[in-house]
Amino acid sequence: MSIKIDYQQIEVSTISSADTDDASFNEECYVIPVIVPLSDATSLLSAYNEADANSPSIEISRATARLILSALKAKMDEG
Amino acid sequence: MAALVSGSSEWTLVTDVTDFSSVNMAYADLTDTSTWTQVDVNSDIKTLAASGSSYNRITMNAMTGSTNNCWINGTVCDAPRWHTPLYATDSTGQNVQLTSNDTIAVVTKLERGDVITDTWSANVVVGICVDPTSNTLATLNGAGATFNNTATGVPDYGVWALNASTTTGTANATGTFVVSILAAGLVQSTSIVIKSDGTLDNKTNRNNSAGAMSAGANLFFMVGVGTRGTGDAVLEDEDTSFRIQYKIIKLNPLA
Repeated sequence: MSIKIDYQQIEVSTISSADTDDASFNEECYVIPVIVPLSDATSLLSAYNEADANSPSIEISRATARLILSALKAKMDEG
Repeated sequence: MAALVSGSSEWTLVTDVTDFSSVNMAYADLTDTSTWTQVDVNSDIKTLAASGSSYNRITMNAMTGSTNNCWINGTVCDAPRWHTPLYATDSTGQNVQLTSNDTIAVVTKLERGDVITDTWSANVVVGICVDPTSNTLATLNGAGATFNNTATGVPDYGVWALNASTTTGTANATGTFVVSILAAGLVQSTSIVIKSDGTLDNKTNRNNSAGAMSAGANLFFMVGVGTRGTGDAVLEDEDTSFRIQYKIIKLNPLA
């Protein structure tokens, strides 16, 4: 898996928009761009069952979560 | 400034030649009814007055919290707005109506005022749009500068795009310069947030999710006042004030 974070583009903003379910939100937040290479998108989705609460696999979910949380930690540590 | 201009084998006296090394911006005076048309279908505006140094001060009537008061969320907004045809001035000072076929740069400086007596969760949007009287945000199709603030907070400043916004700023933020480029029927904008002394406070931008405007659509410049969130209510006599400077330039790209 070669998902990456565009670290230079992490910013603190107030976003007013809609989420994946088209639900409106207004949040002061960290915006963290997650880069999913086109070459990986199909294989990631083939291993993902949206109806299964145990999907994706622990390898993929933990790696993705750690990527995001490590970026968030690094940005917050910068102050 | 008048000047003699050469063209078509003759010299012509024109009354307005722009000095691109020092282009003046113009204030938006919303009380000028010869320029700005107010649309307020729910009578949300109690009073509009010029205030201080070219600020527009708006005192509100009571508004219950509703998605329809929000410019930056949802699909419908019937909050108050002011609009004027989007003009650029030609070399003789005459207004030229701009359309979605044109390539246009709009520079806006937006600042919230400091003479507010009762803050509320306010949002102001300023920018280009297609249909300023529509309550359907996709039809109105607006984009440009914005600020929003919580009831007691310093505003965040940034970019408005269709029915969403991205804003930022510290407690020292006092305004933003937003540059919007319209080309191929789409408006994209970027924002530099400034402190009171003009130094950098922050920066942001937002991709506009709108599709291309229909060809040949007349464009408008508009100012909208609404709530920051979809559930924010407003009490009667709460107010906000803001100052807008802008410059509109129609570009003539070479083939």
